[in-house]
Amino acid sequence: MIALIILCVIISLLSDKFLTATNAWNVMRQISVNVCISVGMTLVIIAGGIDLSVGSVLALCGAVAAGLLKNGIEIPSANLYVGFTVLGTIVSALLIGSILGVFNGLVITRFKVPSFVATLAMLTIARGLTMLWTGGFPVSGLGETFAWIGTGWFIGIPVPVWISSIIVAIAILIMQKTKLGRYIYAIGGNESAATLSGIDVKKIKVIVYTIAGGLAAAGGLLVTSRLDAAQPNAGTGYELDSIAAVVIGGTSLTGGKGSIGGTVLGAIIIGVLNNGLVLLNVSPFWQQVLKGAVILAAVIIDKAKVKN
Amino acid sequence: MLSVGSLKLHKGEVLGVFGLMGAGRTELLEEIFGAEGDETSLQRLDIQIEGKTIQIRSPLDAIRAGIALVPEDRKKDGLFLDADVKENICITTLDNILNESKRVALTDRYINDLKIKTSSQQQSVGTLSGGNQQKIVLAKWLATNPKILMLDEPTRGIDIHAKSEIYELISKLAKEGMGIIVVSSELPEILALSDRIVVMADHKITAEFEASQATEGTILKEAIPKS
Repeated sequence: MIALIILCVIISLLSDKFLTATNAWNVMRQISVNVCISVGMTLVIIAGGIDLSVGSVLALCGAVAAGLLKNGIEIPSANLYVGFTVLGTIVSALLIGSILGVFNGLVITRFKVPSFVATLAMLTIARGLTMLWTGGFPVSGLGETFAWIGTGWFIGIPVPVWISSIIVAIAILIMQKTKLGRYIYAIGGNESAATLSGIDVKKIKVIVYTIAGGLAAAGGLLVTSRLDAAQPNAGTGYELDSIAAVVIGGTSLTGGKGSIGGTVLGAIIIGVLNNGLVLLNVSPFWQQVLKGAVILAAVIIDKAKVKN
Repeated sequence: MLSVGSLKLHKGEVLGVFGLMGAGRTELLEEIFGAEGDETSLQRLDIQIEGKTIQIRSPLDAIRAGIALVPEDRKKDGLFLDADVKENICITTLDNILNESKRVALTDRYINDLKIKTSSQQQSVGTLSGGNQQKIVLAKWLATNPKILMLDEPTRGIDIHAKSEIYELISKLAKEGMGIIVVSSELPEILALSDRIVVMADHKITAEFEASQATEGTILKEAIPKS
């Protein structure tokens, strides 16, 4: 929290464009995608795993949504055409993201493939499927209703900020107030003790990866809607931004410890940093270097805190 | 009340299981508890509780059948060391939507009943002494109201005072009607606690004694593998 305030003070001293309402909403709108993904990533990491596939799943779900909305499903041989409403595409995209999450979870729990490897494979698979679905070209021109999701306003607040805030609120409730949340912490804290305490570890893990897949799909809908196009290479590297947000937020990569609130703070810090560096005309190459340095600093400070 | 092959446990009885290292004592408890690796390797055992044959494929099945297991290695298999006292004690009895006042009351009850020395319910269990950690593992299982309590080396790495408290607790629970199995490699402990003693060697039960008839010599003789 202190780091974020210091960061904001420094940037606002250097640039008069930073502390304006327009810019603040802009930053919030930009980070809402990372917040969606990072909430799922936080659950996965607290449960002792990792999900590298979220960026590709985001791209695939965004592309599927765009394709269904624009072209529907056409099977000429059966003389079949199914058109999709905006709501229909949203549900389909969320469903596909969740199914890919179930797949991740089953590979990890049934075949005992380490989560790093299983989701690395899914990263490639989902990216390949995205290319197959789009033929490598962007799908654009999706209509005003769909664009509202990523660019609209509702009661003075951007729609994506509403969406990500609601997701955050639900996730906090789950982690703090439900058995599922306690079980997720328990599995990451000590999987063997969790099993011997009667927790169905496999089931809980599948649920966690399913949520992560569904939230990646939600991120995909936001990105696609904001750009009014599904880019086949969308979301590349998003898994790393998301892991960065989780780690900056104080969640331990070894599992069992962490919070959604911390992750949101981490995502805001990354978003503000990105935004500030752009406003200050820092070259994109230096932006990457500085972002890496911030991640390191955050983790080192966190370690020092734990020791005291 | 519990029968596993030739092993019988009666209501209100403390059954001591003695064996040397590698005799298969821990494996026996884990198999009864459904905790031995994959589902496929399980259920070689014919387990009956109160005359009814039951299938135990996972620890969850065992818990539902009223069985509890205090494992040998409490740090590895029993506790969430980074989590606090309340989380550890309540993990076996959570409602879908947490009831905070119920959890606090349950934790309070066991801190008092078992005389757990902790600064608060929020203290992390990794910072507690071995004896208090063991009491927390006991508490989380007592909270499930088990009919059968299995204890694997219940006093390993515990100071003398906590040890005698745990002995008293075992006797008290048996008097209240719980069936208790104690696995131990300490003969004096087995002799002091048990009503009946079975001896294991080479993954088989080699002998059974009434506690009054057993001596260290006769037990040890049966515990040494023939051949």
